[in-house]
Amino acid sequence: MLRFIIRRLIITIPTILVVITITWGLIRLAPGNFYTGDKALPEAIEQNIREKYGLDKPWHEQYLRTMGHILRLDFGTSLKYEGKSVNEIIARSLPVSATVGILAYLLALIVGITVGSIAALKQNSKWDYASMTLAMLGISIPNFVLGPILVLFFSLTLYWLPPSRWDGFPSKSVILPVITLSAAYMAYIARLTRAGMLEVLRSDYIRTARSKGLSETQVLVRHALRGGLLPVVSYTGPALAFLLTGTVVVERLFVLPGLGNYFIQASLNRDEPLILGIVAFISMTLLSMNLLVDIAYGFLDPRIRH
Amino acid sequence: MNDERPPTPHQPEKPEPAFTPSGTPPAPLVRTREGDIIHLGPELAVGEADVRAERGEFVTGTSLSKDAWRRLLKNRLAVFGLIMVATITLASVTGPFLIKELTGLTPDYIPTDIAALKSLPPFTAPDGSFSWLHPMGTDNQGRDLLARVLQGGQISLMVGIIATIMSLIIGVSYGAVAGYLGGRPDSVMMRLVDVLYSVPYIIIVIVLLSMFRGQTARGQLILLFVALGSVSWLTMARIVRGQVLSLKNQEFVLAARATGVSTPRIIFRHLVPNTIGPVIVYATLTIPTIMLTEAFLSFLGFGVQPPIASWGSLTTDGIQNIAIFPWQLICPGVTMGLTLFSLNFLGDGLRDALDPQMRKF
Repeated sequence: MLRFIIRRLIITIPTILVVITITWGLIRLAPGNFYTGDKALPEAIEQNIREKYGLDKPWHEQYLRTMGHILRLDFGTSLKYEGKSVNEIIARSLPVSATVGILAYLLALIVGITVGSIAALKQNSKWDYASMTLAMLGISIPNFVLGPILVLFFSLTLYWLPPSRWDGFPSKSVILPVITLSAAYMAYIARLTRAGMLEVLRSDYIRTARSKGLSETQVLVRHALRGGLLPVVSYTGPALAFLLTGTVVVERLFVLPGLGNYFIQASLNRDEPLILGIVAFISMTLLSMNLLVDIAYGFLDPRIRH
Repeated sequence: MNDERPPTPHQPEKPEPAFTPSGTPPAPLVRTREGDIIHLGPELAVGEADVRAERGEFVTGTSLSKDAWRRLLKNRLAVFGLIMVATITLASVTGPFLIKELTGLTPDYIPTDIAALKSLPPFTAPDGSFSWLHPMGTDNQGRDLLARVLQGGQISLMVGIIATIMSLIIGVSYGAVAGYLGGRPDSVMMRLVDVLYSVPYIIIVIVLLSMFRGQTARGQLILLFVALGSVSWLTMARIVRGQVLSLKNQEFVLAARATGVSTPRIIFRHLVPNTIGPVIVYATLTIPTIMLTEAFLSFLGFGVQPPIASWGSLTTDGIQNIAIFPWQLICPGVTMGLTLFSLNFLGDGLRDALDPQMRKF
């Protein structure tokens, strides 16, 4: 186990470096600069700006300096939000994204596992077909179509929920973003649970559990779910990446001051420190979560010991 | 590698079994005459086809593709998906021309009549009466939404298909080469895939698309193909590698090598065609994923740029006017959702039909 963790860490760190390097390379290779606008700047001013941001130095020196800062988790100061440090922006926007993301994931887990298990237990029933068709619908409808339709219905017709604002958690403003974000996950988790449960319910150890006289509920909860949910556990990794793109959309739709919104804004503004900071932060979070998932997987499934 | 599945050889020509309708059957264990009832122990039980073969009633063999096709047609949801995909594709390709022929409207036609210069609800004429002219209504400038949705479909489907073909070319070559070479090259190549797998690629795509904004709408579209195609080949590479690993030690490869066929030729002429089943399945499931990503990027403003429109950009335009003109969102949104839904069902059905062992759901 320890060897496995160390081996995974050994590839995780280069991966983060690769991601940051690619991002940095893309920003630098693109034509133009963050200060180039519609009007050409006088040469002296341009010279000053280049000196101030170290752009006059050779590229490898700039690269090493940037990497050094990032590795020390000091992401620098935003170019567009003057005087705001990137760390400050991340610290302020992360809670918003995390709240929406975690709530959406929990909701998806609860609904998805319930629906998926029931569909598996009543395989080929009407309920099974209906829930799986609904799940496919959830996967196929983009969240930026679902979100506005929910807004149209719950905010603009029934006037129950605010269409777009953020009052923090807990408040009514959380409901629509969370539902919009979790719909696709719910669908995926329901499908994965159904598949996993179907496989497990046919296995020998379930037959053993039944034949030694356990009640159906006990068989289900203590034996079947543990094995049947493994695909859901291994989906957590991709789900996190997915959550990321999802939150970007949901934050744009509902105008939430989250990480995704800042990232899009930074990309449009060519705000290099902010882009790199958010990319570095997201990759680090994502990869460490993936590592945790893999470790958890080993504990849950005794057949897989690394 | 935890993704190695049991070998699923997809050979068009399987070695002939002992009992074949076409070959001469070996001496049967039990002599039978017409009308005899056969009682055999379970270990001697022969299939109906074998009995018939002995009796001289030859059964026509079923090829793998025919068998798969039959299984696909049995799956009602997959057939629904197939019909919907075919209909929507046909409508997107021919629709704009047909509408132009029938009504004279093009996707970019802005009416000159001031009364029509507003967004009309579906099936409504400018004076509020019922009309067949705009089955999906019109947008803010009075352009026919049906024509725009169909033309947007051309772009969305094109992005999905071209990017999938790109990912196919990269993924199949990469996976086949890694699988065939094996050993150190294989582990280096697959380790790279592992590393790339955990990269949050959508972020890099956003940075790429925002930094290198296409100078023209066409340039942006090409950039989109490249960006989406170059990030979606990883799973394909893994699938093909697994297939090649299970195929490369079989006799036909040995025979090819013995007759002096070059390595690239073995990989691309002998091994790759045999991986076609899972590749088709995965490609069918990649198309909706890529279309969804394109729509997502268009929503964020990094996707296709006007005057080119896709389902994603039409939906995004619709979101701005959701409160007053909901059909501007619902028409392209539902069309896109229906297409993705059908493609997903078709892909699932194909997987069950072509490769029952890969069946997951």
